Amino acid sequence: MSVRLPQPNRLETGGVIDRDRPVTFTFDRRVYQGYAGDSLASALLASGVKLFGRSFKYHRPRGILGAGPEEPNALVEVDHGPAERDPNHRATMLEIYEGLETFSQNHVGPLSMDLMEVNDLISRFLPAGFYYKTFFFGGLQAWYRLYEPIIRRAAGLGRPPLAADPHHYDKIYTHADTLVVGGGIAGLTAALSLAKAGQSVVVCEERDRLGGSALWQGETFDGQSGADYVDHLCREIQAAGGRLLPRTTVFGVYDAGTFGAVERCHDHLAKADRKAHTARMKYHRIQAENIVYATGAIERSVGFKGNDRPGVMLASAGHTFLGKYGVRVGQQTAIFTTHDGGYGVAAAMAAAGASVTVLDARADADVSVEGVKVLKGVYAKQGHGRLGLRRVDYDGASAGSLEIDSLLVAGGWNPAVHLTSHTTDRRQSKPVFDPDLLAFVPPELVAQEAAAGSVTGAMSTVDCLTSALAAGKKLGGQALDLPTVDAALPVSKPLEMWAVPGAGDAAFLDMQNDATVKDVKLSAQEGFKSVEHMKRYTTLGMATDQGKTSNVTGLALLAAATGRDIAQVGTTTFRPPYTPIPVGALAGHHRQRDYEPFRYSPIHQWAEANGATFMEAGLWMRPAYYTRPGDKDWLDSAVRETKAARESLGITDVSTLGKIDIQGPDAAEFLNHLYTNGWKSLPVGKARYGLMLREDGLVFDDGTTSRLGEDHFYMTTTTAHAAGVMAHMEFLHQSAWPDLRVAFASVTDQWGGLALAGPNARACLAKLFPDVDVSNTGLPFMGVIETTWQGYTARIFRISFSGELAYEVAVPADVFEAFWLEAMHAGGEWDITPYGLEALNILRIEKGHVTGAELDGRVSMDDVGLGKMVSSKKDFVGRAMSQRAAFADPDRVKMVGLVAANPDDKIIGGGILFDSPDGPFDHTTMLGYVTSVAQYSPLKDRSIALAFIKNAADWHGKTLYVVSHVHGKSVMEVRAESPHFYDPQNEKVMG
Amino acid sequence: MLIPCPHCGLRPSEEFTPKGLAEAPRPPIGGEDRPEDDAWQDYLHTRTNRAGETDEYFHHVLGCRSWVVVHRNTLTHEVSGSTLASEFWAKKKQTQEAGQ
Repeated sequence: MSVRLPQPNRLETGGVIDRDRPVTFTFDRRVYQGYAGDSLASALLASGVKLFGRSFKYHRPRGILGAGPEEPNALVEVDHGPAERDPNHRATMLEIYEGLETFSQNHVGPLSMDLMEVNDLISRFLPAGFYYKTFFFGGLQAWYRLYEPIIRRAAGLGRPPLAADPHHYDKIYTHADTLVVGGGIAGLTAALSLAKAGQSVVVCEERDRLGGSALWQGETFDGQSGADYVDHLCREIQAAGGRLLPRTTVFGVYDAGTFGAVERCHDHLAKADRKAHTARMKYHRIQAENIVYATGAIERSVGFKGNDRPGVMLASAGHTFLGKYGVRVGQQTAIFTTHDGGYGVAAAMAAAGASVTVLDARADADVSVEGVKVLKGVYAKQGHGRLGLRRVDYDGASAGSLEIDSLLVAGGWNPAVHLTSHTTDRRQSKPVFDPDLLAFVPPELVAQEAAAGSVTGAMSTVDCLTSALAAGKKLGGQALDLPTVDAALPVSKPLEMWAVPGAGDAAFLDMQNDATVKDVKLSAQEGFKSVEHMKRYTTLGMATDQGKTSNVTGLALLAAATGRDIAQVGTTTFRPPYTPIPVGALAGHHRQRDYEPFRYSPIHQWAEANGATFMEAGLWMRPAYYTRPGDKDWLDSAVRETKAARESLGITDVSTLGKIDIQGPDAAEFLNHLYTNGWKSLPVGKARYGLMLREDGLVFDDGTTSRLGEDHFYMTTTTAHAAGVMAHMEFLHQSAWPDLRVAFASVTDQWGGLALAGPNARACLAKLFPDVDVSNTGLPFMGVIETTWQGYTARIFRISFSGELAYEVAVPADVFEAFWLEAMHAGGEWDITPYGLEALNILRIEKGHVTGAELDGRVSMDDVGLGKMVSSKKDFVGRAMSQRAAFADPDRVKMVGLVAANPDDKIIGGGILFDSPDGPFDHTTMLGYVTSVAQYSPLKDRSIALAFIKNAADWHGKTLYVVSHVHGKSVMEVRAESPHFYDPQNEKVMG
Repeated sequence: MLIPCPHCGLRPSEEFTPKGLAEAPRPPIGGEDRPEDDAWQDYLHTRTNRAGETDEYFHHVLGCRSWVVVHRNTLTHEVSGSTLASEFWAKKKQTQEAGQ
């Protein structure tokens, strides 16, 4: 854009911005300009904007308080469409780029005339605890219907995105000997000391540039400018192998030298410059032996009435905007200070052409700045100006008013000690209060930790550098020659003034949650004297900024109100994250199907091309039914498939079953331990159905296992429990029977399997394996033959889940599709019909076979009619506990079959069983419940089901009623019978 | 959190699945034991949940698939070492016998 928009508060020179690269962006739909390197806050301040948002509770107009991550007020929404609407960006941290669109938050109507500002007018009626007390009336209903909707509308922090996040996020493991958190001059110095000693060092800096305030404060280092000296340090660190990560926030410290950090890779780039294949953010899981906390310090304000007026900001913020961005936040400025540091800011503002008055709370201050008027022993009493500061009243040694447009408050510094209290694995101490510095400082650190710079309480740059060298030395770093610092800024300890005399109402501490000096006093008065109680009662420190500018002041005032000293009151525990981080960054690629990928059978594409509709079975996609022309609906397809398997020939894919190859001299012994039935006598070339219990005696899993050789078994498990059975076997083998000579491996993915079922199954199999004797004598029921197909190993198992004459054939997965196609071809003369899970379900319910619906972790062997599968000659997992008395309780529900009385009824899965159609239908009369339903059984020409009921055998032949409370309590008449509806003598499978 | 696997060295905890405290060995197979026996109660149900040094089963599912007994201090989260589950109970028995 060739047009230059006005930036009235931008100075001609100064700052570390790139004035050759103007950047155009919008705020509340108005177009503004700034420069590359600007934050949204600095660019808007340069353009003359003072008003940034509304407070959470009272909807008071708010401007900028800070210049960094501590900012509580200026939260904005970045809006690039419904999926990319991202609320609660701190304007001070948001780097502007071409085309950025931002909006202010939390107001109804225009920002300058928020309709919810009425809350501020009645703020005297909305003190801390107001909600707790007031909305108690009317009970829970009133809360849900009346109060909560109103409060939710009034309070809010932006609007969430409305569509799935289109970005992607990376997660990487970063390893280092030492992690340095904070890339200011102290962090860089410590990092250089360590890197030069040969350590691998990673420096994480949350801002866009390394160097911190040294970049712009005006101090010189061995005669070089701060920016030049920072460049020199960075080059040296990189030359020594160190890594520098700007825009990377270390948000948490975890056990054993694990640290969480998020690197923002995209958010500062114009959309056109964002590459689709690169991540918006990277979550670094950093593993480092040592840590250097070089996190700096955050300035605090002082409580006085109207200290939240737009134009009142921290002195460090005014200084940053001036030095880093070349933005003068006001022309008529006052500095309200409690220490010498305010004078450095005053001098800088005066040099930039502002008229400056210093209000020094100390009567005995002994510092002066040329061209600056100083009033000693006075404090700011009240700020005026609803949408922007106009006047400040002061009081103390002298009283009066100043007509000013900006007030910079220097209330002292709070070291950013947050990370030092995140974990307790190496030490359990919290930050401690230093009454001399009037600040919390890190506790005594362990051998793997060190602190450098102002986080230690050091105030001057020289002290910061000295502490950095000490930190480096502690962790094995090399000594360095420290630079000579000239043009040093004045520093001193602050006067203890948390709030000015008489402050209460509208003297804000936590700007984001509108917690005031009065609220803290009220909290103490009402008995909430513990710092944790005060925090929750007033909500001080509970907003998105977590009280970075307000916590210490709040607990100092609590100490005063309760007559204790600050060390006694202590501090709340800081917990991760240090600043808010998107959940997407933590999830990385672990979302949707990247987290739970589908598993596909080798014939998935064939099934897709042949009319299959799939259903999920765990991670697997399995065909539910195959639609053929003429099928009316899914049930029609499933019934057609069922009839084909019963009457001619069906084929189904069983590749998803879990398969475990077990070998070793003790393999049979191992299986004997695992299964309830015996395995030592199983001959080679035979399969056996096996039942596994958990150690608590309940049924775990079932399947068939075949003996392929003396020391070689092939186990199948249910699809759902494949991984669990494997882990169960590994646990028992390793923890209980390590002496058993057995080894096993999952081969689920290595083998594909199909089942042929129906009267023509044998004839079809004979065509597939012409050289193998598959007659009833050559391959009797439960027989197993290992042979070859086209030169590949093929295993033929004569087992049946459908109740028909059936075979399962396994071949290596990579030739399975070819084998399947040949089976389809071979079965053509019998109209071979592929069937899916729906037909499989009808077949197995007719046969009375159990699946996961029945084996739900609550049933014993007897409950499902498999009590006969217990060998009394040996011990096995779950045997001891299966003798528990409760398992013999006659009131236990056991499996039964149900048949609908009315051919048009469809039994409802999950329905409850009663013996009377008249009710009441509740827990006092319920007899059992339905587990598996076939909506239509060709065998019975109506719906059938498997269910569990008390005294199951007694109900055979009798009438019951199924009631489903989630289906309108309709009452359905059913008849109970044996669950083995189809071929109870097993003549079909044997024939 | 890092977990030392006797086979694979220090690995991130995400590779492991925890099972719980390793407080008592599984009673030997082949017995005529009853559900109410102390050995079974100890194996299945009794968990002292003490604050301090504990032994916990972890399965190195995304690694070598060993079951590992991890020695962890629940007060400090410090992990002091680990033993293969296949060696743990024999070693513990030896230590106890040596102590007597």
